[in-house]
Amino acid sequence: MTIDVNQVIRLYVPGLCIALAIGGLVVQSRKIGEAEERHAKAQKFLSDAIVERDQVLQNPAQKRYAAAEQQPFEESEFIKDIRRRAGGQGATIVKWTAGEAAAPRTYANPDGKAETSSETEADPALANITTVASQLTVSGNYDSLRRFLGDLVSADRLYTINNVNWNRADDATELSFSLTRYTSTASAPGAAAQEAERLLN
Amino acid sequence: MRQLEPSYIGIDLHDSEIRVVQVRNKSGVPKVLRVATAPMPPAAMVHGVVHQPAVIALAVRRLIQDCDTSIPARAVIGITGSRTILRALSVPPCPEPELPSLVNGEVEYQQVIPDGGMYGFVRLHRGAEATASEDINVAVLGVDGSVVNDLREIAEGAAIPIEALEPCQLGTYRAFAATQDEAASSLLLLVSADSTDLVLAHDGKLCFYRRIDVGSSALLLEASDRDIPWADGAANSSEPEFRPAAAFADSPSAVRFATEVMRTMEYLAREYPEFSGVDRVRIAVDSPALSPLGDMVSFYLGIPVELVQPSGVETATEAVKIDLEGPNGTRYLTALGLALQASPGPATHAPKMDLSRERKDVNPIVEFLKAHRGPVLASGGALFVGACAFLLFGSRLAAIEKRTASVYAQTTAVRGQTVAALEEQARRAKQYRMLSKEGVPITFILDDLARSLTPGVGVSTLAVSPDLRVSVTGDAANEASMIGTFESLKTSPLLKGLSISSFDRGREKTSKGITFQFSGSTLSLDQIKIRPLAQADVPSETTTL
Repeated sequence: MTIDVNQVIRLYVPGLCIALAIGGLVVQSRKIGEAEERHAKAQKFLSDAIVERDQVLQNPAQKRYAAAEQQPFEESEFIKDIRRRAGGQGATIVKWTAGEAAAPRTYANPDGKAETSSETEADPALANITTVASQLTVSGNYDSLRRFLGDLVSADRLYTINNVNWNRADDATELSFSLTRYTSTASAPGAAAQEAERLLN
Repeated sequence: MRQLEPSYIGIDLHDSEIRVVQVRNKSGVPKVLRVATAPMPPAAMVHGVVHQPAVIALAVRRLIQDCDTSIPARAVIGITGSRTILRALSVPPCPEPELPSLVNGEVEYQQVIPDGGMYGFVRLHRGAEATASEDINVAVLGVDGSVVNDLREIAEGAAIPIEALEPCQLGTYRAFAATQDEAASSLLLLVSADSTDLVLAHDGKLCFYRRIDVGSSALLLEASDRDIPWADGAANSSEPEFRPAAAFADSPSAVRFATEVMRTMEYLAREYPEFSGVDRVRIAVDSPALSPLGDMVSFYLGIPVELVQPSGVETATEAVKIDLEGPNGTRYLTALGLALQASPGPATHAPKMDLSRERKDVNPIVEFLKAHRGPVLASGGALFVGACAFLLFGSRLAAIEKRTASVYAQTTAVRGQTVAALEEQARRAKQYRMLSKEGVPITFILDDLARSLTPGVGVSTLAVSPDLRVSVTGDAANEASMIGTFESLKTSPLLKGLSISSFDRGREKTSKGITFQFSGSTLSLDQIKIRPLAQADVPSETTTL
């Protein structure tokens, strides 16, 4: 069998080149199609992640928080909040005395044994927390005082009540208690937040 | 100003004679202006070898001066057959443009032409039955470089520019093609001084080429040794019966000549059946004395052999016409063919050759590209388009991949934000859970206390210390109501270790009842499941302490 070189050059070589070109284009087209599919899938992942993030941010599992951010007008905002709550429930603030800011106290069990576990003292979650106690005396009838206390304990911001003294008199009932609030300095973002910030930048 | 079209002077050099024919092309028709001969200077040329080019140049110059010099002239000088190299070659089938490169390769491979030599080739066609897969036969005609140099020197000395240097055989064939009616198949015998070329022409195309080493020199030499009846006959019209065969009857060269022609005919009939109709044999001789040779060959072959005459071309004058048609007309056959090289007309399809020009080095790549321009362009175009599209597609692919990577990075960042938000929320929840331990459940204690009061019992003070100690004081109408309140209060899950610390009826008669004090402890807030606000924080209207 002899090979006709001219026929090879005239027909097969151009055919091979055209086939190569078409084959290359087909391969590239397929790659582009696959890349676009991956891109669409990535877009879907991104939109899902954004929805998930927004849900987490807009609908947190718990709205209540322990500490407000320590700002210059934090104390005045706190007093305004207390006055608004007392006025709303018909109670009258008779006396308010500011206390010293301190670190969170250790918790005392009913049996008097202080819990000094690391959860309270050494937990980094409380690293930036400052306890601010104040002494409050309010007067009013039982219902207004009760609603005022209920309003305080059900507030989104955590107020803890201690050292309660309830005195009933003939004309009015007086309630004095220690009201503790918590403030926090801005904490360093976590590792996940740092990585997210880096990626977004 | 219109430039005059040049005339062409065919120069045929023989050992004994220089022959020139001047032709001018006017309105597409060649016209012979002048024919002339001059004796070759003694010893200037021997057996086709130029020994004194300057002398020959002078003779040629004088001869040309007899021509029409009013118009510019260019010379086509013939190379005598004895100085040309003939080689038949076969090359693989290929397109026509590629043929020169293949022939060149074969010529170089077989070293057909000595270094510095020139060559040309003539394609030998096959009949209609030939297939495309058959090899291509070519007749290569070459010449040594010294021959070219000699002829160039002659032209330079004669002060005439060279149009071409061409083998005399091709000039003779062209004269045959221009002046004769070409038969379907003709075997042409081109007799030159030292050899004879046998050419088979079919429909104007050369199909077979062979050279035998019997030429006019040997034939004339042997014929001159005996009584030549044709010579007497030609000179003396009283000779009634002209028997030309007798002139060469005993000539070994003539016999060999006829035998070779006969063998060639047999070979053609055997090997080229498609040319079975070789019905005519023509003979072109370079000397009038060889005119009877055709009859002698005809005697051997048994078919007519016609003498080619340089007739049939337009002439400028009657004298020229007579010179061409007369007994000596065959002398100008080759010179006429050489002069017709650049002429239009019936001889245009006859092969042309110019061995004066330097042989160009054939660039195989260039030749290949020329020969396969279409496939190369198609292939290159396809590859170019494919490469461009490949790059464009690749660029687009890279852009998509980059965008995808960016989207993945954004996704990772957003998920990082989600994780950070969840971590922050978890941290806040933990803070809340831990710090809520610091409070006391005062609202629940108040509610339980209010629910536990029995009629006749009132609470005066309620104290809850930071260590969750609870103290309740009040007054009761009687001990039973106090105890009822105590027992009811005892069921409160918020109060632990509740006890009656004291009760006092009082010593004064004015006292209405007894005072009492309950003591115990309570739970921290984180140990209590807080009820919904509507139930826990809104006391009933009837509740009083």
